[in-house]
Amino acid sequence: MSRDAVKNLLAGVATSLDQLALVDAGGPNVARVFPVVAELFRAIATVVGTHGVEAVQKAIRDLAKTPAKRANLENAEAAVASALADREDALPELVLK
Amino acid sequence: MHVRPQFSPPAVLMPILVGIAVALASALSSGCGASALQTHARIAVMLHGANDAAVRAIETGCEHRAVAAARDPDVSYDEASANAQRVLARCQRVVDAQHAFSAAYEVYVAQLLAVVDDDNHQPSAFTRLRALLAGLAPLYADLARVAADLGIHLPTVPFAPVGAP
Repeated sequence: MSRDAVKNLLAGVATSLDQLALVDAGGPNVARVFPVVAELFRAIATVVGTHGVEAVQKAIRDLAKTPAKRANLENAEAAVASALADREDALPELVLK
Repeated sequence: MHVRPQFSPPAVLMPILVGIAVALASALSSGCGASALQTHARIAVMLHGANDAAVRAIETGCEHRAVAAARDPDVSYDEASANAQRVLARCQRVVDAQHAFSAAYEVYVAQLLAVVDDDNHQPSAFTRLRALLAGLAPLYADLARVAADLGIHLPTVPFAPVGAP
């Protein structure tokens, strides 16, 4: 990828970030997406900013030290339990607790 | 019960994903050496970000859908509980697919690191690197498919160029 192509890519991301900032008050989903994009933007910028072989090698070593994230459902399961407990028709024994 | 899809990051991620497409195409034509290493480094970082985005989309989307099922006022407690558990069970399949992708991605990065540590930059190492990258495509496609079945739309990663001759 040429440097111009990278600059265009980053400009596109920056535009998306600006657009998101403008509509950030639109709802929680936008707010959730925003940090994801920002994180990607920083990651790309980090590698784009490397030019020499040593810098590239360092970027790879840093990457190898960072485990890829694994999704888990712990929060979802806890939220479901809470939502069920909050129901008006929740079982009495659950309410007593 | 109908749950309206609400988390769809692809639109805002599109500029990044176009970049991935370009990088993947570049990787195919790359041979060995520093330039190829740099291209693979870019791909690895971008895939790392795409994986992060996928994890967030899966966790957020699953929680939203499971809680909506649990709160559904039109059904009884027992039915709501069963529906929520069904959502979580479907989410587990998405999680399993994501774990398969992230594990394969880590193998790719490990091979990338092996290339870095080998000053000779053996051509066979780059061949293996490209094969591992190509192997990520069906895993991501499977992940995106099972997530989409649940109404969670993951960023499109255009791996197609990897399979080209």
